[in-house]
Amino acid sequence: MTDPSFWPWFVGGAVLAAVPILNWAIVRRTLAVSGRFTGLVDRIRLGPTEDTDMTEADMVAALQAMTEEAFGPDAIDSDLADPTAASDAKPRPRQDSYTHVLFLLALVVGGFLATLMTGDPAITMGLDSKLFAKTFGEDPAIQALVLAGGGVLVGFGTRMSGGCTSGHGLCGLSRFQPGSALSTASFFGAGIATSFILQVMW
Amino acid sequence: MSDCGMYQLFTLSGTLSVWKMRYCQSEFEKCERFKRSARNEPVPNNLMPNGRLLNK
Repeated sequence: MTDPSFWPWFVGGAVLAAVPILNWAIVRRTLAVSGRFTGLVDRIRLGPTEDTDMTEADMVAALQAMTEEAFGPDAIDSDLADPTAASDAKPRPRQDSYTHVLFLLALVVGGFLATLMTGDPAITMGLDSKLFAKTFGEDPAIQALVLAGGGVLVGFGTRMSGGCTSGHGLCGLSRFQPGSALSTASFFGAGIATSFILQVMW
Repeated sequence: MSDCGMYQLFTLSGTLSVWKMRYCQSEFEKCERFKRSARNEPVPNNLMPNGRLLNK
């Protein structure tokens, strides 16, 4: 039976597909939620990177000079230089920390708005799931600890595999990336197996 | 690679593709930007794959 608090699957799927497309159209970046979070943490942990005040023209001129210095004038004229590689592509501007914060905040706000639409909004420390309560008990503190522990494991896994459900599942799969297919199969497979085992146990 | 600002600069001119071919598409493990990124260290925007800093 379909849970009335969920959107129909075809609406959810279309919205999920629209998000990475819109993200690409607006910021020209592949959608990566864990990547955003990692970027923010790195910015806090490591501080801002050393930036230059060089314009694009300065950079290209300096690059040409360094290319000749590093590889010699012959290298530039040889078949190593690929004239077809030139393009009108512009380097993307580095994203500020506030864009990462804005993106992550929007996730929370979006989830909250979706909850409001169900007509039964409630802020809880646990998970609104009978199976979850059966497995870990009704104590909100314990439930919050379990969720926090799960979050740490998810964070570890996403860093280890270089992406999460958005990066691998939505974007990687749609680009036919074998690594993303393996990652998605791994985390969804493990999730389904764990859920199945819990159902059988209880 | 698509997130590397320097990689995108290498596409601005055909003569610069030598960097892309030498580092990005072959011996990427020798790229100083890659090495720093793999060590979770900050990567200056003007750091070249050979470890030198690009200046005016």
